[in-house]
Amino acid sequence: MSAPMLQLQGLKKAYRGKAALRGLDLTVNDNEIFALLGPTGAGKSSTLLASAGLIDLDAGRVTLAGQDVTDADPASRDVAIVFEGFNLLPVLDVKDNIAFALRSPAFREDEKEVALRVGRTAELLRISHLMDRDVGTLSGGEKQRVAIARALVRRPVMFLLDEPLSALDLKLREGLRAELRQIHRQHRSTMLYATHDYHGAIAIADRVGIIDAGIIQQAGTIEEIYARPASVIVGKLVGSPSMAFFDAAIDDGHVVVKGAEQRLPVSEFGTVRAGGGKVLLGVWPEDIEIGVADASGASTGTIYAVDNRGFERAIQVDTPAGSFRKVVPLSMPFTQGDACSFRIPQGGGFLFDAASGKRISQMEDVN
Amino acid sequence: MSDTKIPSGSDTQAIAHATRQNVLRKRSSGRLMIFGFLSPTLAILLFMVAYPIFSLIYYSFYNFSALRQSTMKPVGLGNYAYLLSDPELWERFIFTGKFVFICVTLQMLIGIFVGYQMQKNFRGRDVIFTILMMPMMLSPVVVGFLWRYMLNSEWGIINFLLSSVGIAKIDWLGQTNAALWAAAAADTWMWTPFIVLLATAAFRGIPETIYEAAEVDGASPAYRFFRITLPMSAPVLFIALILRLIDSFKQYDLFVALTGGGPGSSTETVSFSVAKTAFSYFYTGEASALAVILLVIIIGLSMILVRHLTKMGEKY
Amino acid sequence: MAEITLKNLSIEFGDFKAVDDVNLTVKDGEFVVYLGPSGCGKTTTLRCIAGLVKATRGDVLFDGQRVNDLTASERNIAMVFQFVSLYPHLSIKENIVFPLKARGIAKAEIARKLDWVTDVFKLGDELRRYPGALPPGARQKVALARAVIRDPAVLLLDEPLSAIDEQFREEMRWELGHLQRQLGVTTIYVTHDQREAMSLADRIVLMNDSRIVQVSEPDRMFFDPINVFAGQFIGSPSMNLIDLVPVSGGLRLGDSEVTLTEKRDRLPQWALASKRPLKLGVRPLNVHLTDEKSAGDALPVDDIFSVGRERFFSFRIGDNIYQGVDKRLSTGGTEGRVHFEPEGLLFFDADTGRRVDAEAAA
Repeated sequence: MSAPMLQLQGLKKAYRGKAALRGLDLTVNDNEIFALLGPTGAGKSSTLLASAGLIDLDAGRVTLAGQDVTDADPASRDVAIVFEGFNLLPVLDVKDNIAFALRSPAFREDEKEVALRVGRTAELLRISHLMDRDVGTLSGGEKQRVAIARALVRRPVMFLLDEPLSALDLKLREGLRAELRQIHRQHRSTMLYATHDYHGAIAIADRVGIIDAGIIQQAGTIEEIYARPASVIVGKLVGSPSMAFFDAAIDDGHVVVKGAEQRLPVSEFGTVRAGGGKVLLGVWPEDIEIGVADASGASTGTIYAVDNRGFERAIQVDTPAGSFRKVVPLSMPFTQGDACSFRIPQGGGFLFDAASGKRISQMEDVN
Repeated sequence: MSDTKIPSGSDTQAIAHATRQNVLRKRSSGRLMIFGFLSPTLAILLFMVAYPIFSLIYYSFYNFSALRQSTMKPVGLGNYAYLLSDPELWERFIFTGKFVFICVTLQMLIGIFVGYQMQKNFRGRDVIFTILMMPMMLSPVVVGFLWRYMLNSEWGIINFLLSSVGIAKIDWLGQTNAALWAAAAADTWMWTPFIVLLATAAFRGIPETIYEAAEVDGASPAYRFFRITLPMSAPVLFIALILRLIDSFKQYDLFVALTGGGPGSSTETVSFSVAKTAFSYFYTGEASALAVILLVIIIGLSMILVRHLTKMGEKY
Repeated sequence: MAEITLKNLSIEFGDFKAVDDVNLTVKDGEFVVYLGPSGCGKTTTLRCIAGLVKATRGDVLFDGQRVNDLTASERNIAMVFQFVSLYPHLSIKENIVFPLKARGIAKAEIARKLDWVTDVFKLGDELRRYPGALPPGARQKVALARAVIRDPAVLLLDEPLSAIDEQFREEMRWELGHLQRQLGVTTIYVTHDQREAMSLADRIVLMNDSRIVQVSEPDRMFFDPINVFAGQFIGSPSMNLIDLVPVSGGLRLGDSEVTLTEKRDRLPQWALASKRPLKLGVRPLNVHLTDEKSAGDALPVDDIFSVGRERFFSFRIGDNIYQGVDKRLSTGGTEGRVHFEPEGLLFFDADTGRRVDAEAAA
């Protein structure tokens, strides 16, 4: 179906003793947008730089469009990077910035062809009116479009985007994301998009890879990740709000959440790989049932804070087993300090080993 | 618009192959290039710094005179023993020490005070600042002669001003103590602007919001100066202190022009002695030894102070 | 704690009117957020309340007392700035007690207050460390601790979360909300981020171009904007703003094929009968793409994308792109009918931008 465009195998890289990549494996398929989602310091930038050939790897292999490019220098790899800080050349105007790569010895295009391509790309990104402007005079959104145009005009085999929208404010971000999606739909392209913003990642990605501590924790579509989160780290990075975790223990065939009323039979979670002992019960907040205090069969928690979101509210609930955040409808009139009750519905969670963080429960029938 | 088709599938392979035909270059290590750029500087350093210093140390162990090179004789630590047991030399050290102490103290205090005043935006500030910087740009010899004339006991302007307010004329350059203060005044006049410059820069480096926060917190201007301004500029001011310390320790030109080392040889700094020994008496070996002693002292002092400086910076 | 009143406050720098005739009362213990785009005058107003900027005309009153002539130190206010406001050369502990020491408070009292603040802010381990060693979010927390240790009359915050990495901003926002409610100190907070305002405020003061546009609780601000600016500034994704063309049987959306009718979409009578040109404001969450044939008119779908677990869709009318929520059962494809929730229809005067529905009030 879709051939792999970029394959990263066992990438290892350490900067002055501190490991940034610890054996990273990743595959990006042809014509897909792959979002690399992870916190700052997880290794996102290093992964992109390694793919582009801008850093030396300590170990591992980079394969691009079927060719092993691990030792190839950046110019010959035919990838384009859009950087977080735009990295536009301050001494050139907009059109020269975009044309820059085309004028290098590697491409050797003649001027007429260059002007044509630059013109068409500028039109695509709606910056034709900025061509003669000095880059220093552009707004953040405009600079970002120029950076994208500069990458686009080369028609590379693959695009690498390193948090391209983080410097922009919310409204601008939505607009540019829509444009990126547009460009991807109309013209085939393969993108590896690194970000720490969960919303940003799923707004445009076909598949998502969760990266933390230099390795890929899990990769797949967002539905796959929701259905089978591989570890605690994945749960913490996915979802808005992200997964709720409760300290629990397996006791006599039941999962007992610390300080809570509920005893959930282990069988509800499918097959569980563990002998007992400390576990973490992870539940997607959407699956937690919330109600007023003293509901029967439910555990009690306290409202730590309330976040008003217009159409809905989000609340943070403190419980003896840990706190969690959840979106609730406006009809629920919670204020800070109130008591509330919560219940974990049948089969509504996953069990993780408290020490390693890996998921230990496995449901048989997953659709 | 649809012409800007980003290549897909087989197109991709074709173009990718084309651009990579013989261009799959290995990544250059770049180390050769780095060395290439550094070698001219390394050569200069070697020739103009390393060689002279090693010759200096070499000759310090010899009874050697540049005028009569044939009669060179190794004496081991003989030069050093002679110098360190010479009471005259200790007088020189004490004099130099007094000079350094007075200069650095005066310059730091006046410099910080003026630098602080420069922070406020008053009319003509830029003009005054430029004028203030001028003494620093003169060479020490020029400054020395300038002050020599100003301090002339007969017709110098300083004594003239003093007599017009009823103070008797002072023989500035004829007495050792007065000459010490005169030299200190000249050096301070010349170098305080340097401290002012650094202090101003240090003070300007403190963000306005810190002062606003302090004001909101209820701190009076004096409290702000001693608890915020000074501590936050401490590293830069300390650097200024180190530089002035080392520099005044080596002072030579000023004294040549101002006092010629007189009266007698009482206003000779250690540097002055080195020059005199080397080029008046041509006891080259002995002068080298003295120069080495001076070098060791300055290096030792600097190392102690710089270590203290790095400890200061660690906090931030 | 104090009640802050601004009476006809104007602040001018030469010819430039930074703040133009602002009137507002902040109740004791209230959390008020000044929200607006950069340059709207919100920060200048805050700094005037602080005493760092002088009012050109009008009064600033603390509990009824005029404070215009008092300096910042004299006003008993506390402030948290956008950028580094901690003293980098002092430890966290020294930073926090600085305001008490600067005012000559007794040592025993200082120790007591320090204990209290350490407890509330859970600072235990960090007291010995230096600001440089802490991440920006933690630093602002310390700045907040330093601010409240004095029991100020009012707490002023100038975009305190802007300089913090996005990742940690949300955490800090939750903490801030929790802490303010717990401490109960009168708080005035400035930001350009409407999410922060919605999340934290008891009331939002929306400003634009040196003037106050609307003052409301977050809910009211969201559902009941007073004009187009308010409607579009609050809420993300932004409110759709579509021209309405009177046609027989209803109001047509711009140049599209979609017409809102009185019966199906419950259009108010006065809107149909209006002589003045109107624009429709409707938030994306009130625009549904559905399979039901009876629900609405067919509209060509431009793009489908996800935000959270919701699926959104975008559609074009003329040159503009609008957004709504995809509520179809089958995913993908560009076929669907668009339904506008009647409760979510907001009508604005096309010329002045003012809201013309009855409920809107300042």
